[in-house]
Parts: sequence; structure tokens; C-alpha cells
Amino acid sequence: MVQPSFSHPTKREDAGPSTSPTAALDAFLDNQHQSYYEELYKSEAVCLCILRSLPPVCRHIILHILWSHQPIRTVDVKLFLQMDLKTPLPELDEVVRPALNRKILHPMIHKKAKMQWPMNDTFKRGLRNALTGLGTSNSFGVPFERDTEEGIPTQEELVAYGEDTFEGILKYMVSSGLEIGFPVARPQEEVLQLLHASGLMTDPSDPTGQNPNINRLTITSKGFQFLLEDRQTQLWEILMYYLSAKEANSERSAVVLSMFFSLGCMQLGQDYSASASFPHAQAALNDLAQYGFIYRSSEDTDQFFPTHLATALCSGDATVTKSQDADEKRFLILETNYKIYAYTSNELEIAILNLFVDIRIRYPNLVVGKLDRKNVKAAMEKGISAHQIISYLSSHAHPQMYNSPPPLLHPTIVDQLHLWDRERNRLKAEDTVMFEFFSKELFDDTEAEARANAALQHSIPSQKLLFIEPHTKAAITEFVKERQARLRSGI
Amino acid sequence: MSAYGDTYNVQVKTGVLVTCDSAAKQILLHLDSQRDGPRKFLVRDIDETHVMIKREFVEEIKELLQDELEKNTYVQDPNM
Amino acid sequence: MSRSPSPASSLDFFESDPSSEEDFIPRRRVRKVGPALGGSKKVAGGPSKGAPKIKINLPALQRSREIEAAHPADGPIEEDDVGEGDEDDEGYFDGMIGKRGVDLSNQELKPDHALRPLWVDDKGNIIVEAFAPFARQAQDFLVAIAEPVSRPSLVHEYRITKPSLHSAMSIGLETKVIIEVLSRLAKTPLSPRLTARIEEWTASFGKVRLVLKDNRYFLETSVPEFLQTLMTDEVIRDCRVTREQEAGPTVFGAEQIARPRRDFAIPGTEEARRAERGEADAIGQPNRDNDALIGAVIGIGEADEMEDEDDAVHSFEVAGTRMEDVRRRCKDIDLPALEEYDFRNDTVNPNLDIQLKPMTVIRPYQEMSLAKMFGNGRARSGIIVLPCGAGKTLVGITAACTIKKSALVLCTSAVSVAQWKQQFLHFSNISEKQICAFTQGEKEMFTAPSGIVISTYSMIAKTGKRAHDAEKMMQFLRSREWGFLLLDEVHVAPADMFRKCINNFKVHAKLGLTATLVREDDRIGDLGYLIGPKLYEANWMDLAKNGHIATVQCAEVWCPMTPEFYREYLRNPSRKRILLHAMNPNKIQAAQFLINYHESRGDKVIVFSDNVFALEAYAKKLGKSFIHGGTPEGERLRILSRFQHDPNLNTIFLSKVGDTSIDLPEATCLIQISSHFGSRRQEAQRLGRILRAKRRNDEGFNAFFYSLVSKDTQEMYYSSKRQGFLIDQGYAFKVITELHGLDSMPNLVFPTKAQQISLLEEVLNTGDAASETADHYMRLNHGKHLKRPAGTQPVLSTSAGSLPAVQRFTAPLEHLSGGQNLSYREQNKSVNKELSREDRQNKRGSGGNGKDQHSLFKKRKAEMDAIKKQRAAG
Repeated sequence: MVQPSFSHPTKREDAGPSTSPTAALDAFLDNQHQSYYEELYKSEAVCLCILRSLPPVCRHIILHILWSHQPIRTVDVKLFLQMDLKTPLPELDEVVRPALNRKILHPMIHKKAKMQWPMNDTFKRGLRNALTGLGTSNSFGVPFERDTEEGIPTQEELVAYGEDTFEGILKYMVSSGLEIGFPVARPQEEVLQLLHASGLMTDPSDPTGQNPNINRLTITSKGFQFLLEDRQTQLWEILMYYLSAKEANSERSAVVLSMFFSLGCMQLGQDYSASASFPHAQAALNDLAQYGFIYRSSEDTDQFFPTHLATALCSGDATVTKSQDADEKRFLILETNYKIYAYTSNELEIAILNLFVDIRIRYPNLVVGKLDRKNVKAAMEKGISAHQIISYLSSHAHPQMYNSPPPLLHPTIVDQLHLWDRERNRLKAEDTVMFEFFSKELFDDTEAEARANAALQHSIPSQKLLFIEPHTKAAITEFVKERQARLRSGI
Repeated sequence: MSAYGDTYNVQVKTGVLVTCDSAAKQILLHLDSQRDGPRKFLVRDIDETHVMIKREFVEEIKELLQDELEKNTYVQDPNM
Repeated sequence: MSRSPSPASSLDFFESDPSSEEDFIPRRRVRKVGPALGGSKKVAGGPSKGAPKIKINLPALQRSREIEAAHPADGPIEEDDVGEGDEDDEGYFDGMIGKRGVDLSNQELKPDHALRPLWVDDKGNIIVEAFAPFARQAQDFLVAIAEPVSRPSLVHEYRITKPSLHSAMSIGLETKVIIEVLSRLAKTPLSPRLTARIEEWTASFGKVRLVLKDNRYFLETSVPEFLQTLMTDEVIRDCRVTREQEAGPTVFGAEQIARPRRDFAIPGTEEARRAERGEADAIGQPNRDNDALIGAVIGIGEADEMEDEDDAVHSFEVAGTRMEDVRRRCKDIDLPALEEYDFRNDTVNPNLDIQLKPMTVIRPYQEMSLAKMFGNGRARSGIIVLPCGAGKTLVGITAACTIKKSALVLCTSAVSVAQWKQQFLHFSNISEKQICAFTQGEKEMFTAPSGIVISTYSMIAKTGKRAHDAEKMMQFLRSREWGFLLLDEVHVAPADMFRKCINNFKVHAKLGLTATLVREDDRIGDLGYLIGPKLYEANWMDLAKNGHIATVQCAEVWCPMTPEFYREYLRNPSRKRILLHAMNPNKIQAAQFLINYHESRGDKVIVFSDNVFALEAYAKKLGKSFIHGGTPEGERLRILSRFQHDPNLNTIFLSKVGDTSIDLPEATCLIQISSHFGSRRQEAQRLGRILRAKRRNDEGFNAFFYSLVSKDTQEMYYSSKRQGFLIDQGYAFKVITELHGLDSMPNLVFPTKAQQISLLEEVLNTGDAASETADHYMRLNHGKHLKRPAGTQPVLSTSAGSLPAVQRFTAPLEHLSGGQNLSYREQNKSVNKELSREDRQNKRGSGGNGKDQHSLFKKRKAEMDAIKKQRAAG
């Protein structure tokens, strides 16, 4: 007998497709050519970071042959992975696919009756230098030679600075989407321009998007989605938007991207010399200050401090950043009666919750609200999906929530969110042209024609009705006329 | 031969094809049945999940449908 | 490393950035956590500080000592700290927390707030961290002083209300203590506004008691001012009785007596067993090491520590004939009188020899509720709220065994009268001749000086002419003085019926039992006045966790309306709509599917329908037995018994008659196909039918509760509304939008469009009366049978087998064509009927199964015969 669906008949991915925090970066890199990588791999920091981003198997294979003068032979890989020697080659390619995509390995070649992957020399050199410290590119940053210890911020202060600066931007975004905004400082113009260019914010009075009033931006549905991402994802997205903007100005982005990686390899609390570390990316470094990646005590000093936002970029384990350690991030209790208890006093978190929660009361360390239909649907109208809400709720679930047996979020609530989502669009309306036929033959011919040209929306053979895309009306009419003529003459 | 009786004749109408579940469709039919004259919006009742309506009514109908469905939603007393 | 200039100031360079005047000023918000102010200002009371001894006489106050030990540095509680927080936060969140939102973020957290479990706002709303170190104790306390609002798993909410404080006062808590414990448990200092409010609300509550002592009524108070007020009040003054032989010291001419305390044990408890074993001074002493629960609740151990001034209780006598006036007047002048019965000093009424059987053990929460009732050695009148299935009956019986006086038990139906009687015999040693039932069928009177009478509200409240023997019985009941009036399912009967039941008799102590005091009733006020305050309310999830009630999987099954039904639904007035969404073929199929599924996995299924038409139609179509108000008593009992014992009868359909009091511990699955609008109480009541499932302690056992809802109809609205109460108790309703496997089920009913349409015609042709959700047959309609419209009234007086509803069907059926309907009727050939035939055979064959039921059945039969005789006569 079939089970009534208390247990899920179809397993559902609650959080939607799981995305890596560096998805934006990966997408960018996937589209680059060999030459771009050649330039990138001049930086030892890049080589190291890219290596870290690879899956463990690839990492091991690369480190295994790093000091060898030979290319990687497929047979070695088979042995290394204890694979069947008869494993087909395409399968082997899949194992090292990430390294191939990053152009660390060249495509498989046939040499001396052996199949092998040659390694990119630039990368090999870069990584060797990174590991031995022999590099000369200063890509790990050049410490600033200071003559005084005064004014050196502590690590905590750097974290707070980075956090405040970046959250300030997010707060600005979220407040623009609230009916009654709350006072927030406006980010600098360059930041606003980036937010606009990236589509996270828009000027509603400027439908073309060409001449936005940068001071009157409001958040878009893409922006709302951005807010719900975790911090690491947000940072890489912002950096990639920045990079794209640079490219749009036909600037060389490889230097800038190298700098991101370099920053990711720096030490929190250490000060560096801007001119020595990034001789070719001074402007970009200054821009990053606006997002809180680095801190400078004044504009004209060569000294800068990377904040945790920068130093955690390439940590590999993206879930842990200095400021939001696991516990601080896990602040939400969601009960089966749809009540949400959020242990937070962070305005940004509260503002984000406010997007889909009806907040009833706020205590110094707790915010109480209800996940009610009205607010959730309003959030959905803004472009936030049930998946995003669910993933936000589960990634911020309070440790106490883990004490009850999984799933983390009660399935009833998860289901309800999906149902609300589904409830919104029960009606699909599309412009159409209806053809009503009296001849079965003519109907069949026209239907086949419409289908072949992907013009068919709906067809009711019993009533000899066809519904076709309006833009194909002329073509279909033409076809019908021709068929009519032929059929009539056939009589 | 009059064109009317021609079996190869074809009638062409433009409008909006609405695809929905059967309950929503019944609500649309019900809404239409309560109107007359130019306020009628139904062009064709197609099948259980499709109707064709006049374009100018689409937004209005969407709202009316939401209103009708909203009636069946219980909003908890905020004080509870 | 030395860093002289503050790094923080060096971070402010943005402020001096000329390029962006008002732009982007990152602010560092460091919430100032108030310094530990412990001892800076005197905390009210607190034994460890050598403050004036406070009276500890409340739940969890002992716990509060533990708590105190954990929080030596208590924040100042009288200080008004509001506004001292981050000033720049003012208004910051105006737009963020909704229009109704309240911003209390500027309250100051106590330094050790993590150890304290409560947030309290100034309106008395309380949030409890159920996982905090002292949450358990906090909840014991809160349940005494506040209304539980929601109690799911991790965070609970309570609300302090006037009635809840009234309840608190009635079980002996005092304002000072309430405020102190509350402030000790709270993470932030209590707002002075709340403190003031509590003081105001409790100022007069619970200070005046109405005591029936030696057959004389006394108004008692320990507060001289209130005594003054009472004695000078014009109404009460008139009711006062003065006697020449008044003895003892008097204050204002009032009698002064010692404050009472409990010095006996509640039977069935560990305490009682200890006392029996001869362990000295066991009674009244909380068992700290083992189960401090009860002690913490009553706090009797601390009674001795009470200050002298409170030992004096002043009282004066009022006329017994004017009781109603006195009660009302006390309430009107905001000095509501609590009623207590000093039963052990009652020498006038003879004792009843009743005790719990030795093997009867009561559960901790039952004990806790009783402890509140008998907290001060007298019987307090009030209401105990326990979920169905949690053993309300035993609480009532134990109370009767404690008071040991003649008792009158009122319940909702003849079936529950029988059940109560059986339970009394089962749990206590009462002799059968001292316990009698007063129903339509049975009119027994006990002959001993004392005894127990069990009856129904409708029997007692009946107006108009009574049969001779009934009238005689009433006189017997009226003429006596009752030590104890036990009111079952108090939320069911209308208030005027209650008033009649209560005022008709001379009663000392009243105890109301119910599963839900849901707010929609609007009767809580009435109940509080007529019976007394709520004494105890159990936590459903806790009971389920501890295996006292079954864990239940709740689901709402969405059944799309078929297009034809929905079309008619939209066109018809709302009266007719009820029947259309109840009879939705997709819903009938879903019911069929779920019944099949659960029967196949060995469940016993109850299907509830408020709509009698739908009830019969479903039951007949699916070939199941049904019971509604029109089902004769005998048949009803026969079906219930078959359901309990016969492995071939696993599903019954019940109307509203089954909402309460029908005790079917076999049932493990419940399906609701139509219900009475948005009654949250009914939903809870129905869930209760499966909470006492016998198999509940089986590993991994789940009971199932389904609500079948026709999608896009008003049922959706009512369904969500109905679930409100249970959701707040921590139940989660899963929405099922698709029953997998339904389409492939063999013998699916109404598989074709044609059959569905013919069902629709049938529904449309049915008289309006069929659309009602009320069970017209129900007895409990102001104590009268409702007359059904002529023509649709089923014939009831014929033998049990004949189908009452057939007649109703015939008229519309004649208009219908098609063969399906023939087979419809064929299949319908009443399962009820077959049952009764089989039953007769069984009787002839063997002595019947279920021995314990046997005597019961004899009585039932007698009762039934009497009904028939009566009917034949009338």
C-alpha cells in the first residue's frame, strides 16, 4: 500500500541548488582564456589560492607532481586513485576537470604511447615559488615600514571597521526597500554606481537604466536576493561586479583579480605598503576601501590594513569569517507556530528579517516576530523566493534548533512557504491568437505547422481550436491561406 | 458559394489565453456570469484549465481572482 | 606595543571627509551593558539578604531560591532604567518593526541575563526560553500566574491577565512574591508600569473568601480594610447574620481564626503513601530530594514562616439564602469571593466512605493540579484544564476521595454518565449501592446517609414538566447538601444551564474539568464567576513527551473541488455551500483512501462530521457504521463496543455527539470531514479523542489526525482558524496536497464524472436543513431536542436496525435518473443493521465477550427500554 505523504514521496532540496560562496568567481574564471590565466598565474598568491579552491583530489595530484619534470601520466593518476586500469579516459578527465578548467593542466595529449596532461609552466613556477617563498612578484604583499606604532588598529577594530562599512552598504540597500525607511548614511558615489550597474539597485524613475539619479536608487529583486546570501558569497559577488565594471571600461582586470587573491593571502592586523604590494592597482585598492576590504588611516598614506573581509576571501572554508563566527550567525529560532525569535541586536539582520517577518517586539538581545502569510507574500512580490527564505532561516538557525531531530526547519513550515509561493501565480496569462477551424484536415495541417515552428501555445483537437504565439500570426495566416487554396482547389 | 458555409473557413480571434487550475477557472467563469454587455470578458471557455479572455480585462481579473481566493484565507488575530 | 591615541577615533576619518558631507558614517554600535548593580539598591525581599522574611507560599518559590543562588547580583528592580540605554537608538527602528511592533531594545539587560529565562514587556507579555537553565521552574511559576499563550518546543509565551492573576491569588500567591519572582527571572528589569499594573490588579483579588462551614456561610478576609468595606457595603450588610453566641476574639465584630493550612495528604500521591507507611511529618512537607514539584507548588513547607499579621483571618457570617446576591455583589465591588470548603471540619454532613484503591496511582501533573485545589487544607472551587486523555476523570475522582462527602457529578451525556460511574467503581472503593446515575433511563437514589449521584447537565437543567420519578429524584437532589460538585467538560454547556445546575443545589466545593478554555468561548468570565478561577493548566507537549498522552501527527489534506461542485459552490448561497464542500467527491475519495490505508496498518479510525447529511452519506457509501444524535442509545453502545472489540469493525463515523466524553482508547486515527466553522475548542476536543490511545507507549507510535479540506472554499479559512489553539500547543499541521496512490486504489468511489454529477444532483436536491453543521439530534441543545422540520425528521422509534436517513434520501432520489443510485442504496444496506443482527446472534451464542462491559450493558439496556416505554407512553 502506498504511504500517505507524511514522509516525503519526493525528496525535496530545501535550500534549492546549493551554491558555493565563490560561485561568482568561478563563473567568471570559467569564461577566461588561456592568456588571461597566464597573466594571473604570474602572481604566486593567485596560484596558491586557486590551488586551495580545487577539490582535494586535484590538489593532491598537482602537489604530487609539482616538483617532477614530467607531465602527469594518466596511468599514474589511475594508480594514485586506485582506479581500474581500464577506466576510460573521459572519466579520468573528469577527475582533473577543475584543474583543466583553471588551465593548470593542459588538455590530454598523446606522447610516447602514454596519455598525459602537461602542466602549465607559469602556474608550476608560481606555485613552487609560493611554497618556497622564492617569488619576486610581491604578490603576498610588502609590509609597510613604519616608524611609529601609533595609530595601529587592533584586529578587533579592523573587523569592526570592515563590518560596519560593508553592513552600511547593505543597510542602505535594505532601507531603500522599506516603506518607512530608517536613517542610514549613503555610501560613496562609486559604490552606488556599482550597485546600479550590477542591477542590485535601480532608479525607478529611469526605465532605460541609462541616466540614473544615483541618489535615488531603490533595491531590486536581485538586490533582495543578494541580501539573503551569506557574507562570503556577497563579497565575491561584489568583487566580480567590480571586476566586470572594470572590464566594461576595457581595463585589464587580471591585475585587479590578482590583487583580490593577494589580499586574501594577507594577515589580519598586519599593515602593508600599497605602492610596493600593488604597483599597478593603486586605484582599485582605493576603491576596495569603500567596501571595507582595507583600512587606511588617511588617503595619502601608503600604509594600508586589510580587514577580515579581505583576508578571509581565500580561506577556502568560506563559512568561517572572523566577524561572524558560527555562533553569532546562528541566532534564529523558528517555532512550529510560525513565531520567530531572533537573538540579535544587529540592525542589518533585523532589517533583513523584516523583509519577510512581521516583527512584533524588540528586546535588547531578541527580536520576536511571526512568519506570516502577508509578509512572506510581500517578500515574494519583491522577488525573494521560498527557497531563499528557507535557506536564510536554516543557515541562521539557533544551536538549540539542532537539538531536535532533523530536519532543522519543521517540514510543515517549509511546505507552507512553498505553498505560499505557489499560491501567488495560479493564473498564467499570455497573449494569443485563436484559430478556429471547421475542417479537421486544415486543423491538423496547421497544428503540425505551428508545432514545427514552435508557435503553438495550446491546441484542442476536439474543438479544432489552435492557440498560437501572436508574433507568428502572419506566418500562420499565410500558411492557412495557402492550404485553404490548395484544399479548395482540390475539391 | 457563400464563405459562411465553406468548411475550409477559419475564424481568427486575438485575446489572452489564460492557463490556470480548474478552481481558478471556475471562479473566472463565475465572475463573467455576473457581468453583462461590454463588461463581459470571456471570449471562449476552452477546457478545464484554459479560457480565453479579452486583453483589457486581464489585470482586473487577476485582482478579482486574488480577492476571491483571499476570502478563504484566515488571518490570525494579531493579538493571539 | 603602546597605542596612545584611541584607534577608534582614528577610524572616524570618514566624518572629516570633505567629499561626502552626510555620506556614510560607519557607526560603531557597542551596546552598553549596564554595570553590575547588585546591591546598589535594595532588592525587595530576598531571604539571603536578611530582608524582612517574605512569605513563600507559591509554586517555584523554592526554585526561586535556587535561582537566586545562581544570581547573587540581582539587578535593581524598582529603578526606572528606561531611557538610559543608547539614546541614539531612539526611533531608529520606527520603520522596521511594523506598525504594531514594540521597541524595547533600550531596556537594559542584566549582566547575567543568559541565566535568566524571561523577557517581560510592560503589558505583561512574557517570553520564556524553554531551554534556559531555570526554565522548568520558571514555567511552574508562570503557569500559576499567567495564561499560557503558546507552548511549542523552544520558546514559550505567556500573558499576565487580570483573571490569571486572580487564579494566582486564589491559590495563595501574593503580589509581592509574584513581582519579585518575576523580576528575578527576567533578563531585564521589570517595567514599573507592569509592577504597578500587577499591584493594581491583585490589590483586591483573592483576599475575600466565601466559606461554607458548619452549614453556615462566612465571608473571610485577612485584610482588615476589605473587611471594613464588606461590612459597610449596603448589600452585603443586609445579608449579614449576627448571632448572640458569637465567641472568640473579634476584630470589627468579626471572628478571628487561625489561618488554615493543609495537614492531610491527597490520596494516590507519593506523599500519601509515605504517610501511610508511617513516615513521620511526611504530610505537607515537600519531598525535596525526590519530587520537589508538589512542594514547590504549594509551598506548604514555608507556611510556618508566615508573618504573624497574616495569621489573623477575619470573618463574618452571611445568610445562606442570599448567597447569589453576596457573590454578585462581591464581584461588583471588585472583591470577588473565593469559595472554599473546610470539609474536614464539616461535622454536619456525614462522611462518605470512599478512597482510592491502593493500586490507583495518580500522575505528577494530576497531583499538581489537585495540590492547587487543596493547597490550604480546604477545597478551593475552580477549574482544572487538562488535555483530553490526560486523566481528568481520575483527578475528579481523587478530589471526591479527598473531600469524602456526598458528591454530585454532572457530565454531558448518558454515555459519559455510565463511563463516570464505571470509573468511580474502578478507581475507588465506593460501594455500588452508594453511587447512582440519574438519566433518562436510570433514576436511582442512594439510601445511605451519603453517596454519589451522576447525571447530565440537561437532566438537571431541564425546564418544564418532568416525569414523576424524575421530579422525585430532583427533589431528593435539591433537598440535600452536597460536599462536592464535579462539573465535567465545563466549556460545553451554555452559561445559563450552568447557573441552573450550580444554583439549584447547596454545594460546598465545585470543581470544573475541561480540556480547553479557549478564548473564543467568551464564557471564561462566566465560568470564573460561577465555578471559580482556573487552578491549573497542563502543557500538552510535556504530557506527550512523557507518554501521558499520545503523540499525534496532524495533517490537513487539501482536496480540490471537482469543477462541477465548485461551479455550484460559487453560485449557491453560503448555506448550501456547506453541503457542497462537505460532499466534494474528491474529499470522499480522500476519506476512503485514508480509511483504507489506516485500517490496513491496524489503526482504529474515527471519522468526524458535523454535518449529519454528509456523515450518513459518507458512512453508507463507504460501508461503515455511524453514530449521531438520532442513533438510539442501544445501537450506539453496540457500535461503540464493536468498534472496541471487533477486529472487523475498525472505522466509525461520529457526529458532534462524539466530540466529548465518548471514551475510545482504541482509536488511533481520526479523520475530520466537516466541522463546525472555526471552533478551536472543537478541534482540540477532537484531537483529544485519540490522545488516550492505548498503544501510545508503543515504540514509535503515532496517532493520526487528518482534516479533509476542500480547496478554495471557506473550509480553508475555518480550518486554519480551528488549528490556532493546537498550533500554539506545539502541534504542527502538515499540508498534504496529494495523496499518493489514490488514483490506483481499487474500488474508488465516484470514479466517473457521471457518478460525480449524479452525486451533485443529489446534494443540490437535498433540503436546506441538511446543510447545517449542528447535529440536530443533539441532546445538549438547551436541554431540549430540537424539532427538525417536518418531512425530514427521521423515524427514530422503530427498531434499531431501520435506517433513519433512508426517508430523507428517497425524496430527492426520485428525481434522479441513472443506475448508480440503485447500487448506491444497495451498498448502503446499513452496516448498522447488520451489526445489530450479528449482535443478537452473538448474544444468543455465547455470554458475550468483554466481561467488564457486561453489567454496564445490562443497565444500558434497561435504560433503553425505559426510553422506549416513555416514548410509547408520550
